[in-house]
Amino acid sequence: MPIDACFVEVVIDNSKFILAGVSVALAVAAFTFLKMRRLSSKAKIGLIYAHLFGLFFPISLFTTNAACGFLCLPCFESPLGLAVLAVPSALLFSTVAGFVVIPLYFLYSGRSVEVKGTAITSFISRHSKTLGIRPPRVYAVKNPRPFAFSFRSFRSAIVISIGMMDILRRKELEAVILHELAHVKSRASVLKLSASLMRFSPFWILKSFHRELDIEEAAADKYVQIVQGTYKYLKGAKIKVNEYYGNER
Amino acid sequence: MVMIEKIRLHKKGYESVLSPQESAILGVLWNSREARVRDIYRILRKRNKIALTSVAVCLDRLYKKGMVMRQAETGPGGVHYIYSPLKSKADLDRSIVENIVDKIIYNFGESAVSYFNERFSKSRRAKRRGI
Ligand SMILES: [Zn+2]
Repeated sequence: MPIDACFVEVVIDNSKFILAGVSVALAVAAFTFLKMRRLSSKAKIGLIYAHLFGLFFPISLFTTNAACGFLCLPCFESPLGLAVLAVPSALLFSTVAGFVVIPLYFLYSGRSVEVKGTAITSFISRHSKTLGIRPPRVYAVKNPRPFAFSFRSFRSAIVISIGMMDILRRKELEAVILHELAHVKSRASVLKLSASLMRFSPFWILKSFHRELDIEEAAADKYVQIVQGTYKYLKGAKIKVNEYYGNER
Repeated sequence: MVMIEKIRLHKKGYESVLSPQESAILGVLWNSREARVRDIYRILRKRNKIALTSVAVCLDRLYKKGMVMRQAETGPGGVHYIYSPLKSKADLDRSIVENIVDKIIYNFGESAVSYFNERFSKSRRAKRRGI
């Protein structure tokens, strides 16, 4: 009986629809800005999050609303209080979606090309076999700054910027690829990507994330050392990458 | 559009608008038409002390200044940028002058225009007198 009464109250409240409308407008605005060129990748990632958040917020608003109504809690009485309650779950949703959406954005926005039939690809298939994993796809991102990461969403992939391939020698590039392959093998590379994305969300304060990350990184580096018999090339690659960002300043 | 951020009046030639490294790189590109980061590094290394990574950074700056273009090309060792000059030397000179003069007129308006008029009528008169 009181449950029914609560539910009726919940459904007919207009202010929630206004909040949801504003949120969707935010999502649309973020999406529109995203199409502008000359944005830094940081700005783009921020906008992707704003977009995702704008989309998820109404959903979590209404689910929180329903939950409050269902439990007959007073939280639905003030739309503002409800909004505050809905924010954490919307952030969580958008962060999780970001893991999937952001790599896909890199791959399908025309800013990357799949690398096929090169020495790199045969190197990868050879070492994937040794590791007992399905060889990941390799993508070259059209970006002059050196970076590389790997992820698994539908299928695992290693993403390397052209800037990275431009400055590394063959052995150094192989070291980077082996490092990423070790990530693919351990499946935790999602963690790394997400950690860098976490900067954009309040979850950044969860420091335990970093410690796990360090262990994962050390393991990937160790794998490179085992295969190449030396840290030399990996170290060389890291020095060059740091040097690049140092020169940029 | 060529973008000039600052002019160093005490420097000569391209070094007044570009860093010494950037102008050296541009020189290499005019000679070889197109080159990868590594090719330019190999040529410059013989003359100056320069790091491969600063060649890469400078090329990106030149790209952002609208002075070079780049294309991604897949080779046996992966994908690389092939850089080439966006303008001939003469065209670039003209764009730089245009850029600087436009900015002076924008910032100093009347005074700049009246000075240019004076300066050019003087040089026209000098030309007529055959000096
Ligand atoms: Zn790593």
